[in-house]
Amino acid sequence: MSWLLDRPADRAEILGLRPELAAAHARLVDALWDGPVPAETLELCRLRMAQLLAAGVALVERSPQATLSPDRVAALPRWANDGAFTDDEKACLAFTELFVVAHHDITDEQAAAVRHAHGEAGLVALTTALSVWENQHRFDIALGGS
Amino acid sequence: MSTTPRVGSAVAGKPSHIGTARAHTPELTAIFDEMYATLLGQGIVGMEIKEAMRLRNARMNSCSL
Repeated sequence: MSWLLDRPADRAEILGLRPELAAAHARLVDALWDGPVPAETLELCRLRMAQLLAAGVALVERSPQATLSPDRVAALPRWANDGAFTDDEKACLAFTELFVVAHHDITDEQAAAVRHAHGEAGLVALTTALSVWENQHRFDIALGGS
Repeated sequence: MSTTPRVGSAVAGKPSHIGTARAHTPELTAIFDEMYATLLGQGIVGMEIKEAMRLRNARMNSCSL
């Protein structure tokens, strides 16, 4: 139940209360996928963040830009010790987890691992994507989106 | 927490800082800034309230910028 509309409402309906903001947000979310980080890696990070934030709406969403097997999604909580994830994906997932739970504790080595995998533009793109998704996940939770 | 930049400057002759680091992704940065400007500059919530929320958020996240 959304607190704003007094009925079940999804993110688009709630954001639609501010159409110009909704349009700008949609452009930004779409643009996140155009950078040097592979779409599947981004989707893994988006979902891992949703798991950590218990973001129910985001957890059941799937980004159309990426295709992940159900097995990989199911293994995501155990990514660190699972051979289904590449070293480059693990570098991004490690960065993602600390971004959510203790961003001041991200180490130079962890940032360098993402940079090594995807370049400086990739590190900037991933960090931007994480900041957008974290806000989106918290938006859904705070405003009761469904 | 790093004491040195983790991303170099994408602007020739300029030191690395948040602006020159974000220049590695110019299209994404422009769209992000457009959304941010929409968020801050429009709507019925006053600028003083938005700035107070921004500063409170920065303090809670120990963001020195």
